[in-house]
Amino acid sequence: MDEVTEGVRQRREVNAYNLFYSTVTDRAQPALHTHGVRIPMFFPVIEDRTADVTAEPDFVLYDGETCVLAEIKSGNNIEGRDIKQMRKCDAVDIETAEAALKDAQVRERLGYTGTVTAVEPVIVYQDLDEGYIEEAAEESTQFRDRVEELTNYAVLLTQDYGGQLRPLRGEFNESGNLQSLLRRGVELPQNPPDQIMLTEGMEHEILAIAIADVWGEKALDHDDGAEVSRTAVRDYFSPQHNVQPSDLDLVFEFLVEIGACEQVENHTYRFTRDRYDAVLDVEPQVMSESVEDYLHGSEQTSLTDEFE
Amino acid sequence: MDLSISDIEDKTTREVLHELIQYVITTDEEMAAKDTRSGGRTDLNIYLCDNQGYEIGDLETWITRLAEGDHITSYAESYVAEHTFSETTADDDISLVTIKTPAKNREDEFVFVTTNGYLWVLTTVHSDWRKKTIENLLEYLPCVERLYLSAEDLEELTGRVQDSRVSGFTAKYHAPNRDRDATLMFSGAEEDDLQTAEEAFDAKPTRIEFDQTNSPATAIQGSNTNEGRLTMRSVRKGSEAKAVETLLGLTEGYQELDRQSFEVKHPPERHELDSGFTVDGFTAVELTNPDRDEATTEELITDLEENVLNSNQYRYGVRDLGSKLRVYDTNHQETFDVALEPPDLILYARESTTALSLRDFVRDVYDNLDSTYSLSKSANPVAIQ
Repeated sequence: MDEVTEGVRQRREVNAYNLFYSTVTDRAQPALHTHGVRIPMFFPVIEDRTADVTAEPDFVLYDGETCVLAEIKSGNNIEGRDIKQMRKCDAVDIETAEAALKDAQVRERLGYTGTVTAVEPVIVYQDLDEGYIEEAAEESTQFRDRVEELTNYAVLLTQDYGGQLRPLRGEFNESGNLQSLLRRGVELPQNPPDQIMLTEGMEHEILAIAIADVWGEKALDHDDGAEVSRTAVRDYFSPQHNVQPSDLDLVFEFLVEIGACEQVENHTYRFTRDRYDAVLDVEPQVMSESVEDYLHGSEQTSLTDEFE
Repeated sequence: MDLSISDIEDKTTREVLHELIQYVITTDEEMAAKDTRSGGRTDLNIYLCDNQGYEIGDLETWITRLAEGDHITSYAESYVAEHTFSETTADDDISLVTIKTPAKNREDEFVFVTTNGYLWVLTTVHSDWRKKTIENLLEYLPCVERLYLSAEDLEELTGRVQDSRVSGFTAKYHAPNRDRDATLMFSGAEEDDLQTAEEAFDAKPTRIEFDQTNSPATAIQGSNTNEGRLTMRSVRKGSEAKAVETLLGLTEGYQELDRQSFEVKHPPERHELDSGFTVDGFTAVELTNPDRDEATTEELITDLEENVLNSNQYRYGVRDLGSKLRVYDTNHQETFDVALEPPDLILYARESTTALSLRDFVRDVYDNLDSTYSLSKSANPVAIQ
């Protein structure tokens, strides 16, 4: 079996987000968008100041009534921290959800009043189905207990390329329009668009792709290219991602090394059209080898491996 | 075409069309005697182009830019060297353009009309010379591009012509298939023939001829091609007004169908918010259900590389572990993604994508890879209304 690189793992994570995102687009069946469902927030931090609870779902779906707080997992492994995450999402009450929608300017952007009648936490795993759950529950009491506990807080769903987003276990608290859409399931495209190129972790590999995507492409619009500073990149991904300057320095060292951009002054870089070939190479490169290994070589680690 | 600026000055588009229809006017006797379409007659042709910045009076500037640009191809370079160009402005949106070919002692005339984001070029120049003169010019001008219709849309457009029947067509079957690599050209004289060709061979029409009656005899003969060209072959004297209406209707319909297929109405846009950001907007052009065996993703990429992406126009990189290609169209300086769902191809618009690069790529797929794809588009705003 092929070894899964760090880059590939991050790509799968991003793909899981993009697949979920595609539920609202016209290639889904039914496209949730046509039923009034919008995604007003990605990676929000929803704080209930009085109860001192902070929920951090990946997506919020909202149709003018129901707020779905969705956590997306790229694998099928139910972990203890997933339960913790969903417990926090479950603690978000209607008032807190309304306050978060207000911060996200849903009234201005979507024309919705921002009223919430139900908050529904959901957690979505890839590669999960009834058969797997049954089998795993039979083999391991820990798995059985985790499914049990998880579904106290959230509805457990699965999604698949060219397959469906659909619930496997658990019940929605209320019976609204959005709930019944999800209960019936949504047919998803086999290969959805790359709308989102971020992971929660913002590791070097996905960061390199995201920077190449945003500024490499921006450079195509201008004869003299596009310049970007380390500070500007950090600001672009804030506040939901706090990208460390040292990580950015490493990523830019890599981007300069493969020729995707040039350094123009300290911590400032320029992307130009004639470097776009190298920009296109960023993704395949980081899929095959980590940024760190590319820059500093993997000899040392492989030597150690051999002696182990 | 022996047209002078006074013929088109201070005239509306409708009046200019009326003026040009004169070149294809036929008497009753000629019309009756005419049961074949052969012969070297003069047709009125209208080229319909998406206009991304051409303004009447701009020709000299564009020619200079073509002659002196850094990225000019040797074809464009020798084209500009072998011809001379002049543009006489009639008003803000109509001009008379003359292209001279000194080596052949030729002078060909074209009427340029800009309207609502489109450029129309009207001419009665014979087909042998249109290619050498105006078709090349339209190809080399970076700001304009001929419209394009899929076979289904071409049939629909022709079907909309009132009091008309299909009187001929050209259709093509082209699909690279490891088992069955074939290109077939069909032509026929009746609508039934076209249906037969489509059903039996999956041949898709690229040009449809129609006859239009004006109670009761045939009065107008015209045709549509899928590459943005409308033709009036003959118009019986007395039916000029109807012919002008037909042209205006076809033009409008052609533009509408082209927009439906290629316009990026909802580009993916990033919006920054107080708490995070969103990506809004979604546009996908879908090429589906070709007459070919299921291909693997790798085979589909190889086919695209060999038949479509092999020109200097494109640069591309493999993405998403081989399931997508990011394509940079250097002619239009736009990127878009091609998602592979074998045997289907899905074009996803990126922030910079416009109809120009989508249309160009789709045309290349039809011409060079597989003419049997069906085309549809889906597009919606995702978060923001």
